[in-house]
Amino acid sequence: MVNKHSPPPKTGILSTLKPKHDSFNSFVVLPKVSFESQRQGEKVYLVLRAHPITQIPWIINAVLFFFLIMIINQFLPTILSSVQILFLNLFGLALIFAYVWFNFLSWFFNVGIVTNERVIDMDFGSVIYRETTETTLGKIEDLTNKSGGFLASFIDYGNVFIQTAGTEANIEFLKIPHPSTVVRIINDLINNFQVNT
Amino acid sequence: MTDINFLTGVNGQQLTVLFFKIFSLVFSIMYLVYSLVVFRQTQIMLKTIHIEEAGTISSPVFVILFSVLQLVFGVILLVFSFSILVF
Repeated sequence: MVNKHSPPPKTGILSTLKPKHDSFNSFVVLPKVSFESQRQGEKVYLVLRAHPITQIPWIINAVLFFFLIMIINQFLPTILSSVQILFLNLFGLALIFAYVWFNFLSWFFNVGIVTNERVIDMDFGSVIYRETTETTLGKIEDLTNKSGGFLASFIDYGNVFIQTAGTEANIEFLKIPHPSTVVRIINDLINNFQVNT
Repeated sequence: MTDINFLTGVNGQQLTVLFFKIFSLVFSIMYLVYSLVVFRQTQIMLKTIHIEEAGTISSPVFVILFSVLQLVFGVILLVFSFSILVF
C-alpha cells in the first residue's frame, strides 16, 4: 500500500522542476512556504500571483494622483493658512500611500498554491474581505488555460480555471505567468495523486 | 421686525475655515480606523500564509513594516488635525 504522505514519484514535468523565483515572485516553484491549513507531509509545488505587468495601471494612477496634488497646490484658495495647506498635502499623500499599499496587498495576498494534495486559492478582495477556496487534486475534473490579447501572448500570462466535481467551488488563478506550464504541472500532480491513492 | 439669520456674525471665510477644520478631523479619524483595519487584516493574512522568498527582505517583516508606517501616517494626520482645530 502506498502511503498518501510519501514523496510522490516524479514523472513528466515534475521531474524537471527546480526551485525558482520568477517574475517578481509571482511564479514560485518549490518554494519555502507554509500555510495555516497545511497538512503533515504536504509539499508545496507552486505559489502563484498575478503577473507584475498587470499591476502597472494602479502604479500609473498613483503617479498621476501625485502630479494632481502638485497641480491643485497652484490653485488653492488664499484664505487657507500655510499649516492648513500643509495638512491638505499630507492628507493627499496619505491617500496615495493607502491606495498604493492596498493594491500591493491585494496583489501580494491573492495567492494560488498548488501542493501534491490540493489546489488552494486565497483572495484578499477588500479591506475586510478574504476568501480561501481549496479542492483536493482528486476532485479536479477539468483544467482550462485561457490567454488572450497582445500583451498576454507577448509576456506569457493568462488565466487558469480549475473545474471541480459536484457542488465544490471552482478555482480561478487570474493573470498568472506561464499558465500552460501551470496546467501541465497540475495535470502531472493529479496523475501522481491518483497513482498514490 | 428683523430677519432671522443663523449665520449672523459669521462670514464666508470663517465658514470655509470651520468646514476645513471639521473635514480634517473627521477624515483623519477615518484614515486612522482604515489603517488599523488594514494592519489587523495584514497580520491575519500573514498567519494564513507564510512565504520565505529568496533574495529579498523577509516578506512578513516588509509587509508589517509598511502597515505600521500607514498607522503612523494616520496618527500624524490626527495630531495635525487636532492642532489645526485648536490653533
